[in-house]
This record gives sequence, C-alpha cells and structure tokens, in this order.
Amino acid sequence: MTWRLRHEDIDILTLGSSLLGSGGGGNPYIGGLLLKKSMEKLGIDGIEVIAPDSINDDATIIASAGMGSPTIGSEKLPNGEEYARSLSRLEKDMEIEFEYVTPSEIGGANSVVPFIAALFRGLPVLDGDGEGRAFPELQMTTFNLYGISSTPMCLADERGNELIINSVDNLWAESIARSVTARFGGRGYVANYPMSGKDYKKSAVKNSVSRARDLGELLSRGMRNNSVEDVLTKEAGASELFDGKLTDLVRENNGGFSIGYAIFRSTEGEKTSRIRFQNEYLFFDEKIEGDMIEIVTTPEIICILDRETYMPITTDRLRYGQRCKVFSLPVGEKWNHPLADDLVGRRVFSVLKHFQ
Amino acid sequence: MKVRIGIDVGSTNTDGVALDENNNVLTKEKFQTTEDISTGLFNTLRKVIQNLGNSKGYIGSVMIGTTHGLNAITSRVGLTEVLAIRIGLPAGEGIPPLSDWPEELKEAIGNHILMVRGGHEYTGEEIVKFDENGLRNYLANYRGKIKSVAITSIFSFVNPEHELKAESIVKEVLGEEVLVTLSNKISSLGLLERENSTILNASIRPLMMRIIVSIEEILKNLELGDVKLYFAQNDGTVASEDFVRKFPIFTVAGPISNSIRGAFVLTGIENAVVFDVGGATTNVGALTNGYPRESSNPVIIGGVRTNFRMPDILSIPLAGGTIVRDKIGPDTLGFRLTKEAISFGGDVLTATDIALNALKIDLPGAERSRVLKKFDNDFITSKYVTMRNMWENCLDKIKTKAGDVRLVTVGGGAFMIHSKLRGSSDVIRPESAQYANAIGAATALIGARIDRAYSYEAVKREKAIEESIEQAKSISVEAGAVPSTIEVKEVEEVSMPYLPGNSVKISVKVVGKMAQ
Amino acid sequence: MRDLNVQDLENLEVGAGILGTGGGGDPYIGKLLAREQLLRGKKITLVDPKEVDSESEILPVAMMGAPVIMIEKVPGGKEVVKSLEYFEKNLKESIDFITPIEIGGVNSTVPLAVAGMTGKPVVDGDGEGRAFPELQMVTFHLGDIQASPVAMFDERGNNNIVMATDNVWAERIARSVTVRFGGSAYVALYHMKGIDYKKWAVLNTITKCIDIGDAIMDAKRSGRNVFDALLDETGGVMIFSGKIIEVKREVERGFARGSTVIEGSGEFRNKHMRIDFQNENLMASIDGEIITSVPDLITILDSETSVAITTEHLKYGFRVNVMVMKCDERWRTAKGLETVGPRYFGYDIEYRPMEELI
Repeated sequence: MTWRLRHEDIDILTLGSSLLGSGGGGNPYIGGLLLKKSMEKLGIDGIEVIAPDSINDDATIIASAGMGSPTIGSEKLPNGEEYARSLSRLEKDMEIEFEYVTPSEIGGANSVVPFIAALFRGLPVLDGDGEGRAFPELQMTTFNLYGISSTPMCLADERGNELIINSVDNLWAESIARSVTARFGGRGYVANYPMSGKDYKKSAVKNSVSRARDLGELLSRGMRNNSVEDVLTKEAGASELFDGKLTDLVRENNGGFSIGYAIFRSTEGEKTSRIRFQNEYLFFDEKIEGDMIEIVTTPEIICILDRETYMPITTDRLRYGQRCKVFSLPVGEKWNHPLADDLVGRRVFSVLKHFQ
Repeated sequence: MKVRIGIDVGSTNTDGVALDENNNVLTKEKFQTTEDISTGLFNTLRKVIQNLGNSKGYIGSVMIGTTHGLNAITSRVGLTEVLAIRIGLPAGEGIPPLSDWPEELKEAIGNHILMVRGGHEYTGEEIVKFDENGLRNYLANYRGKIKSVAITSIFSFVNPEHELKAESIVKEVLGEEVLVTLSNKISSLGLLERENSTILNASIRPLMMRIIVSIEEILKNLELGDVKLYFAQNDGTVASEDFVRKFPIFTVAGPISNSIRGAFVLTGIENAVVFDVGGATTNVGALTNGYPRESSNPVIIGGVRTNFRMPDILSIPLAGGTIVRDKIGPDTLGFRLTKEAISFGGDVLTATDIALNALKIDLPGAERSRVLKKFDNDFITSKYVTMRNMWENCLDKIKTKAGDVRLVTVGGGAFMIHSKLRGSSDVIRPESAQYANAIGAATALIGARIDRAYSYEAVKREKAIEESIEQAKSISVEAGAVPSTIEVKEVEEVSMPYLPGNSVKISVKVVGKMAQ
Repeated sequence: MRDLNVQDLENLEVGAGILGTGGGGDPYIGKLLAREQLLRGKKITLVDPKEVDSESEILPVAMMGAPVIMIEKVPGGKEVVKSLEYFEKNLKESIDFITPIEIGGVNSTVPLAVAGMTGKPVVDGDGEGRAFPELQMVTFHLGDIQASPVAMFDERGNNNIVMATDNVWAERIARSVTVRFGGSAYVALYHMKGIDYKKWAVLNTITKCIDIGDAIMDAKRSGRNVFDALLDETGGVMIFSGKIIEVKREVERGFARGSTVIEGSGEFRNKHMRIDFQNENLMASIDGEIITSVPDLITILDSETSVAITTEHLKYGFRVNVMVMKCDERWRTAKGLETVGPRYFGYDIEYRPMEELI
C-alpha cells in the first residue's frame, strides 16, 4: 500500500524506529528534526512511501544512510544535503538515474535519512529496508545475504568530500568506508547497494517503514495510557528483560564505531546485567552466580526505555544513573537464513574482542 | 547553634525562613516582591533577622532560590537579546541554532543567529579552519546592538580552542563589556542541547547579575556582609554567587527542587506529586522516597531542550499572576498582581481573580466581587474549568503509573487548587505551604563536582574513577555534607584523543545532606 | 621525443635515488618493472614538454604508501593501468601523456613501466623536482590544480575515486584508504591540460636524473672522484662526512618518521650531524645548529660509491657523505613554504635557502 510520510508523522516514525533500531541507527531526534527542517525549507510536506511489490523489476533503487559513531552524530550535525549529494555523485559515476530510495536499515535516524535524500531529489521511498533493525556494519544486510553488491557506493562528508568505492566484496567496502569515515571525523553519508526492483523484492525486509510507524503509534498509545509494558509484550511480541539503574558506562570512539558496555543494577541491588554495544545494543547478559551469562544475542532486537517516560534510549544517550527497563523484540524472519550466522552472528562483532 | 536563612524570591512574594540545625522553623516572613526585587527582599530579610533577635549572630549562611530566570524564559519577558554564534559550518547547517524553539521565545531574544566555519572533531583536530575573519565581519553588524553572546563550537568540550578564539574576537569587535557564555563551560556531548542551554544562559545573565548585586547590597546594609551567600541550583545543591553570575542557567530550576523537598519537610509524605503554584508558573514535580525524582531525559525549559541534570519537572505558565484573556497566559503580572489584578483594585483579569470567584475564597486585601462587575459567572466558571484542565493534563503527564496519586500543593497560589484533580487521590495543602520554597532553599544539599584528566596508560580506569569519586566526596564533606548521605550523581568520561597516552577527562558529581 | 633504452633506466635509477632525498621508495623496483617492458619489446617514449600541445590531456601516475612496506610488498604494475583506464572512461577521450608526480624514488620509474604497458608517451618533467611524502606537496598544488578525482587501486581489485574539496583532504582520504589497503596503493591524480603542465611542472627532470646517473657512471669509468662529479653535475654542496652511529624510526600514520646521527670524520671530526626524516630527509643540523632544511634537497650517500641511501636502509656503521641541492624556486614562495617548509613538518624554524647557509 502506498502512503505519504507527512511532517506530523515524523515523530511517530522515529519513535518506532528507535525501538526497532536496537539503540542504533543514529540519534532519532536529530534525524527527525533535520527531516522536518528540510521539508520546511523546501516547502514540501509529504513524501511517498511505495510498497515494494508494486515496483517494476527493472526499477533502479539506491539505499541511503548515515554511518559512523552515533555519539559523534549527536554533536557534529549534518548540513542536510550530504545524503542527496552522495546519491547524485554515485548516479554521475554510474551514469544511471535512481528512481527509488530505500532505507538500508530501520533504526534511529537511519529510517528517516532516506526521506531527506528523497526529499532533496524529489524521489519516493520504498517501504522496506535491508535489516529490519539496525546493525553496525554496511555488509550486515539481507541485501548482502541474498547476494547484492553494496558497491559502487559513495561516501560523502559535510565538507564536500566524496569517495566512490568499488570493492571485491561487501566486507571490503565496509572496511574502506569505515576507515575513511574515521578520517572524516567519525561521520559519513552513504549511498550504496544500487540494485534493480527484482533484486530488491528478493532481498529486502518488506514493509519495515510501516512497521516502524505502527510500533511508534503503539508505543505512543502505551505512553498515554500508562500501559507500555502491556502493549509491548502483548501487541508487539516484546519480552521484558530487566528493570534497574545504569551504574557503569564504558564507551569509546573506536575505528568509526561507538563501542562499549553498560552495567545495570536492579532497584533492590540484587541483580546485575550488562549490555554490550557497537553502535547498536547487541548482547544482553545477566550475572548469574558471579558470571555474566549471555541471555539475548543478535539478531534479536534489544531496547532500553526510560523507566519513567518510556522513551527509547539510543546508545548515544546512555548516561550514568538512568533508570531503565530493558526489552527484547523479535527481528523479522528474513534473517532465518543459513548464512545469517556468518554475517550477524555473535563472533563477527569486534566489541566482543574488546569486552569479553 | 547555627542558623540558616532560606529566601525564595518568587515573582509575586518574597518569602523567608530561618532554620536551626535540626531544620526547625525559627521564624517565617513574607513580603511582596517589588519591581526592583531588592525592596521586597530587604523587607523580608530585615524582618526575619529582627525576629531572630539575639540569634542573629549565629547566622552562617543565606540561601537564595529564585525563579526569575525561569519565569523570564517561560513568559518571554525580561530577557536580554542574544547573539547565538555556532562554529561548525559546513556541519550542522541543516539544523541551525534556535531550530526547535517556540516562536515567541525566539523573538524575545531577538532571533540573532550567526554560523561560521570551524569546530573540532572528537579527536580534537579541526573540522575545517575557523573562519575568524568571517566572524569579525559578521560581528560588525551587531556593534552596539548586542550585550550578551552565546558561543557554541562542535566538540568544544574536547577542544575549546575555537570558542576561546571567538570569545576574544567578540570582545574585540563588540567591546569588553559584552557578556560571553561559552558552551564548553555549560555541558558536554549533544550539540543542540548544549547550544540551547548556552543561549538560555546568555539571555538571563544580565537579569541575574542585577539580582545578585542588589542582594549583596542588602546583606551589607543589614550588617551581614560576611555571611556566605548561596544560590539553589537545578540539581538541588547550592552554588556560590560568583559562579551564578556566570552561569545563572544552573539555578533557574533551583526553587523547583526546593519546593519539592520543602513539601516533604512540611508534610512528611514520601511519595506524591507536588504542585508549586507561584505567581507566574505552576511547576509540577514528583517526590519519590522523600527526594525529587530526577529526569533522565532531555529537560525541556520553556519549550527548549537542554541536557541538565534536574528534577523531572513540568512547568506551565499558569499561576496566580497569569493574565486571562481569550487564552490563558502565558504572560503574568508577577509582583504587580496585588496592584493591577481586578480583585486588588486594578483592571487586569488574572487567574487569581478567576479562582477566587470560582471557589468563593476571600483573601486579605482582595475584593473578589469587583470581578463580577465586569465578567459574569459563566465566563468565570468556564475559565476555571480550562485552568483545571491545564493542571490535570500536567498531572497526567508527570505520573509514571496508572492509578491515582497523592497531590501536595505548595506556593503562594496553592489555594487555587482546592479540591482533588482528576488523577489524584487527595490534595494536601500543608500549613505554611507558601514557605515550602524558602524551607527547601535552607535545606538544600551540598554538592561537589570535579573534573580530572587521567591517562589510562598510567592509571587503570577503575582506579581513576574510584579516586575521582573519593576526591569529590571529600570536597563535599569539607563543604559540610554528611558522609553517610553522599550519593554519586554523575560519572562522565570524555576521551581526549589529541592528548598522548589514552587521556580521559573524568567528571564526577556527588551530593549529600548538609551536616546538622 | 626519444625512446629510452636499458642504460637510460640504469642511469635514471641512480639519479632518482639522489633526488629522492632518502625517500620516495627504492627506484630499483620501478626500474625492474620498466626494464621488463623493454625486454618484452615494448617502447618507452620520452617527450620534451616543448613538444606537448596545450590542449593535450596529461595524467600523472604514482604509487602511494610507506616505502618500508613497498620494499616488502612488491608492486605488480597493472593496477596503475586500470586507473588510467578509469580516467579515459570518465573523460570519454583518451589520455595523451602520462608523467611522474615526483622524480625522486620509485615514482620516477613507475610511469615508465606504465608507458611500456600502454604505449602512452611520458612527458619529461614532474611535480616536485625531488620527492615529498604527501599528495598535496607538488608544484601543481601551488598552481591550484586539483588532485581530484584521485583514482586508487589495490592489488586485490578494490578501487576508489576520491573527490575532495581540496588537495589536503585528497591526501587525508587517500592516505587512510592506502593504510586500509595494507600500506600501498596505485594512484592517478592531478589530471590536467598541457598548458597547465608546462606552466607548473618542474620540467625535464627525467633527463636530469639520467644525466646525474650518467655523470656518476662516467666518473667511475674514467676513475674520477665520483662524489666531485656528482657535485659538479647537480650544483650540490657537501655539508658533512662521517659514520652513522644512531638510527631511530617509527611508523606513524602511514609515514616512516625518525632521525639519524652521523659522527664526523676528516674536516668534520668531533662534530655530529643529526638528520630528521619523514619518509624523506627534512632537516640537517650540526651539534644542534641547523644547517639546512626542506624544501632544499638533503641526500645521504655511501662515501665509497656515491649511491644514495634511502631512509629505510640507513644502518649503524655506514660511512656516508651528506650533500644538499637547491630546490625548485617555486618551493621558496610563500605558498611553497606553507606547503613543504620546515613548519609544515613541525619544526618551528624559518626556512633559509641553502645558498645563504653554506
């Protein structure tokens, strides 16, 4: 079904995608505000969201996202036109025109970023993405799982620098883009996974923009009625994992990522848990008889909510002393694939090497 | 014996109390707040001191809480025009300064924005070269027009160099007397929130400086020039006046903390929602186990996102002095309430006029029937219903669980809420409700904050944090905190990659109860 | 216009080592690549800039990376050809000439190998008249010619196009990609017209290199003092002679930084010279007093053979002579010194031309 994302829908969309983003995908407030400001600037209210099944097999599609450490993203803001510039540069280099923009991930700012690129270029956005959540690296997509190349891709910065990458595989694209992103000062703006409509229909997580919007509405209703736990567990399939206070936070900007862990202690101080993150929350552990035992692992989604307001807390907003509730959410079935474990299984994440 | 004086300079009344070391109220007084602030304050202080008689010599400290800054921000009156400079182009152009601000507030501070190239990366190196000449040229347009400047540079808390350079250029072009607030002194990560707080600080600095000067004058006149003068801060601790001159934004919500803690001291109720109804705003907070509940989300002040640690509060421009027209507020009569409100013989319709008639309450000095000569009962009832709705919405927003909560009302306008609101199980208006703020100020917490740089190659992280906490604790004990009550409020690490040896700045903040 | 022979390559190697001022990588590897082309019967044509039309398309090609890594990871050569093809595809017309970006070290010979592979002639000149460690340190940069687009290839098949806002950013981005590629990359950049080349390049430096090599060979054959012959040919000045007694180095952000100390002998007895380097030799001082610095050319030579010693080959016990040569005049302008003067490399000293100091 085709619908329009209007100015007034943006907060709901970013709210829902903050849940799906597993704490990552960039600061949702800044992403949302940038989209609103861009709409106001261009005098356009409403961007078309197109159902993937309705597009032609030979349609040309491009994914759009911000990459790098979200902690840095909340300080060094975009100027707004980077996303579209990255896309246009790639068109020039590939000598084709893109007809649709897709999110590469649904999470935080990255679910609205494609709308900013689309807005500046007058293009529609596809209702789908390549993850159904957010992951820290460019190759961690269902697009990759189904054999789509992420290159040629373009990586831009806010100064006007651009880099076209052609790589032998998607892991190399990530590795090159990551080191240049670090050189850019920790943030880069990406257009990648150029593909056909046929490939998109095969490889994308469909309807995920709608899912984010619906989750946003659900959470917002829960907030109004003070029934967030209820709506999340009963209507969204979430499970409550923990209830406590953040008592230690280790976080560093490392190689273009924000990596670290947060320790939580339950209100009575009896239980201790830990969440390790690399841009996104990846692993939830609980201390059992002195040992940290992994309870929830990728690709399952982990959300941290403020225990008073129930606003999702993204990795860049973690602070000492926060009182939180932790939930897990099921990820889409697109990841039920024999190769998924090699791509997003626990052993591929470098945060585990730093923090055992 | 040790005596502490707590003063709350509200927009309508200036309240004062004197407490002994066991928090017993020795005396309490209130006078009308005056336009110059100092006359009202002088009257209150003088009376409190007079009442103390021979105990005057035991006065150790005077603690002031004032919402003047907050009122100025929420009612958009009394603010100084600010030039908001952001150093960071080409980054951030898509979200200019003042982006998410309410229109009236933007106008009230003049909507002067200046964005120039510069700023740093998290590594401390430049994003692009700082455009000093550009800044100098732009600034020339503001010569003689701007008295207060807010400067925010990207990652300035890692490397403040561009903010410092900009400050000297501002002083060179606009004059030495111009007040400059630098964002790196206000808070850390999160450009928009830090910038907002910096601009707000700049907009209330002249106002707060005037207030401080007049208070010092009064203390001198009362032969209390040597007594320590403190201001209540947003986080429930106190700060010295020289700090507040530069950073008044840290005190704007001080009285809110005060009123919540004061409500606890007065009622002994540990869990409740507290409504502090003053002259300009109703501030709503929550008491959890006897302490103000702290917010972990961005704190909104007057419609603007900031990133302070403060009690979770909602503030609406509806209180005793609120002017009622077609819509209610947001402007207020403030201290002129008892002259210009209709019930007091003036001709401005206020929320007090509405409440007195709707609830049929008589106040000394007020003649509520004067209102009925101009407005009929239906009008009054409908306005009061609107007011109640505004409060009820507020109550609903501050609640964290379904079900009714206990409601404590304090402040000069507490009488305006006489029966329970939708969502509350009962309403408690303690005796001396009016003095909750002043009592809270006199029982404010002692805090200590330290920033220390470490190299994790030389000192292990755990050890460095532990050391910092210990140091902060000992500073707070020296300042008068009871060791057993000290709590760690904040631990923040900022890595400084441009310094050698894995350098990190650790900021620790602790607070504790004042020793008896 | 003339075709180079194997002897030219041998001479070029010697000259490139001397103009490389200790850096630019070992020209030996590039010579082997170029010689291989000649042995296969390919031609390497050298063109005088005077013969180049103003409208012709010129593309400098080079290797980028730390010399220490290059002597281990020997280049294949084909990767540079790919970068040339990229430019032709994007320009939709052919590149007429290639040229070295720097004359010192390996990058003097890499374009010759490419010329052999593609049949494109090489213009006799370069962008430095010596070797420097960073991409923006070329006379083209002083003429506001853009390095971008920079085409970069690795031996695996990864390739990137850098479009930077300025040449310093082109350097930064290309450098981090090079590090990611494992320390070396093959690049084509500063694409320009003949008219710009003739105005901004340091001209006829390939011939200069060959002549230096020839003079040394000639001196050897005729039994003349090789070092004197070298000073005569280049207009250089000997500033020290002695034995290396200390070498310090570290690899920092893709560069080889360090210093060496030489204990004087003969007329320099009881004196010590210290030479600081970052890929190339940057500054020479005797007993704490600065003798000369970039952008003038400081070269350390084996005292027996007068073969230049690159910074990565410096070792304790080597007997050496140190000479200094005058740089291209454009490096002595304000923008030239801002780009490659001692301050850029972190030494808080004023540059003084070698003629004044010695």
